[in-house]
Amino acid sequence: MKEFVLYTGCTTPVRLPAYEAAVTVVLEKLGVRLIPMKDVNCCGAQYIESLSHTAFAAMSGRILAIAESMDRDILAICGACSGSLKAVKHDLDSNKVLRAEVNELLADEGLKYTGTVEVKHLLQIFNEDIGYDAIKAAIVKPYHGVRLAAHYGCHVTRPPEIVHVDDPENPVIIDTIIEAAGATPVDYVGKTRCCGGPMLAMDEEVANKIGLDKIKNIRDEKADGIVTACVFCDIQLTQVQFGDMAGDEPKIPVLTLPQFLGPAMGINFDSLGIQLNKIDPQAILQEM
Amino acid sequence: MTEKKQAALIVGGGVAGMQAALDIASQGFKVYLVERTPSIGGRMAQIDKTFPTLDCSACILTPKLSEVAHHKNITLLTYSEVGTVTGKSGDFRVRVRRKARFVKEDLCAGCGDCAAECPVEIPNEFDMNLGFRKAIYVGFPQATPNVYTVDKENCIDCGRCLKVCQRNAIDLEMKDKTMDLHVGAIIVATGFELFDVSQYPRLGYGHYANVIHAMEFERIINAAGPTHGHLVRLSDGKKPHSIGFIQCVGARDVQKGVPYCSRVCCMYSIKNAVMALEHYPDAEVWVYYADIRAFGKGFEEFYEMAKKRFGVKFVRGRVAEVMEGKNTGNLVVKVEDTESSKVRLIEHDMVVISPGVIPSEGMHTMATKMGIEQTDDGYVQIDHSFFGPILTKVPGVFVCGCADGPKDIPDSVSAGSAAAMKATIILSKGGV
Repeated sequence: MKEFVLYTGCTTPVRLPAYEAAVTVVLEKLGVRLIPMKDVNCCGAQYIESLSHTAFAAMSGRILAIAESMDRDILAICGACSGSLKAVKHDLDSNKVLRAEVNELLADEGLKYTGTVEVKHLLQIFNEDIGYDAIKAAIVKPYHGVRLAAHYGCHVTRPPEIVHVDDPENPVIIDTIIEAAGATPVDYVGKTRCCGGPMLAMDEEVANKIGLDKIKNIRDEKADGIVTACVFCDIQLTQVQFGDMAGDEPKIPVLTLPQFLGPAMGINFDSLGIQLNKIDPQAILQEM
Repeated sequence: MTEKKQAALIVGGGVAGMQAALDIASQGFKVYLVERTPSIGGRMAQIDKTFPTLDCSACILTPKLSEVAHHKNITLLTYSEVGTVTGKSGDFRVRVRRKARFVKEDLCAGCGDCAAECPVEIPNEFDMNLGFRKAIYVGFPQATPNVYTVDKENCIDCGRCLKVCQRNAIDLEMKDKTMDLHVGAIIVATGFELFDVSQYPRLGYGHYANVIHAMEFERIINAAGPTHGHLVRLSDGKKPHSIGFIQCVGARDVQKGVPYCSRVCCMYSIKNAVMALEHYPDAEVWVYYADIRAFGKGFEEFYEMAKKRFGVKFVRGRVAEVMEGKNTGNLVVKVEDTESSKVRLIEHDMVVISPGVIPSEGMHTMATKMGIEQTDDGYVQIDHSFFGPILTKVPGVFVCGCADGPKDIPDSVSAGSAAAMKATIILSKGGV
């Protein structure tokens, strides 16, 4: 059985615990065991990154160093976290001065970054470590006639030369998995655009506009639901449907990728945290 | 003029290679002109009009095609490829593979009886796969030599063409042949390819029917093209009332490995914008550009004319995304107008992407055979930026046209003549 340390990031445990639960059970069933990380910090994405690059590198560097001490590669399930960890790893591997600086800070705790661990996003685990054939083989209750829109998340696939997940302009991993589980992936305008989430703190109106634009484009394709691979995108695409600007249209359920896959693999809804979803996905899950 | 026994090889039968061939042959030397496709003419034959004079491209090219075909010192080796190259300046041995065209060149009169009878229809490469040709075909009416070719990959061996050919020119059992040439100089004139714009999924090419690229536009507006010159949308055959041209796609983009400017896209797009308005004076035509590079003779004036007399609207900004409207097939272009710093959404019936120019397919193989160097961008490395623009790093091997970098037609012709001059200096010294 393959093993990874699971870096959940800050947002998942607090705002979307079902994502973590679903990832753990689904991957376990597909032969990947996740080991929790203790005493890890925020990756520093965007907020710290915009203030001090060294502090940012030290924060993500610490996570990488802890994974090294556990001798396992990292699975990051949040788009921003996987992006930060990969970007910082890239930095530390190519910039000796920065690495020395970060290691000096880490030495206080007896940690050291040497560059031995890899960082993977959830989509890579499905694509590279498990494979579509194994996913297909694990499907016991395939979906029928459900149309689903994939949302990948900006930091999951960009910048491609550093993250190596999928083609950022024409991503296929979620769509392939949707198909493998018997559902129909639908294309929509602006599929690879941002969800608007990161703008929430600065300009809520703009953030909501971006998010609702996405929902409208998905609705135009008559999709029954949205499948995500980033905690922040999932939260944003859900919350935006409850705002004042949302209107009266019926809400489109948003599912994280493991929550979508789990039921088709015969995993019960409870272990996937389905009841915690703000928009009830029963309409989708009944079509099996 | 005295006949000379020295010979030159020219690889590539586009306008640059043709010019080089004519200039060498007219000095009494022998020329072998090798062309990969069944006809000479190259890209210029596909273009509808030229810039900045709006000449009919075929009208100025066709006399050249005939001149090359009828020149007694030029041996035309179409549907052929260069195999091995050995030797040195003044004394090259070149093996040429003559692909079987399954029609005897000396017997075929180009009457077309065979194609009329052929039951197989295939998208025509010459029309950018928009029109159709038969499995026995000439790509275009002025194809030179005017000899048919059987596309064996698609031929069903029904033999109907054999029955109607009155000159018994068709031989479906024909085999590839090799030919050994002894030449004093070689000119590489292998031209260019267009960047594959489907590598920009956000611009919708290959995804939305009404997003086409510039070479497809050339064929659509061409009277001999698949729509007989009617400018229509591919989705529903309707006349477009609003057309947007998108510049710098597959050019000046480090991320796609094409950091350089393709030099011709600004002008060919302004020309195409003007041509669209020549077809439909009431249409609205927009050009989205990074900056307009109208550097050549008469170019800036042409650009001004497009703006002032024709009313082409120019928006400075690189297009972010092209979206297709629901059910209409119309397209919405999202662009930041960098002159007003506003993001704009502009609807069009048709979008034409202007692809950049990249080295021709097989350039690396060719360069390896010849022993010539390539630049980081994949073009032929020239010997000296100022005093050797048509010299390669190998003595006796010269380069012209787009093989060493993007060029417009006049520059390609100049380079062809220049390469011919350098080649004949070697030939004049005797040797072969």
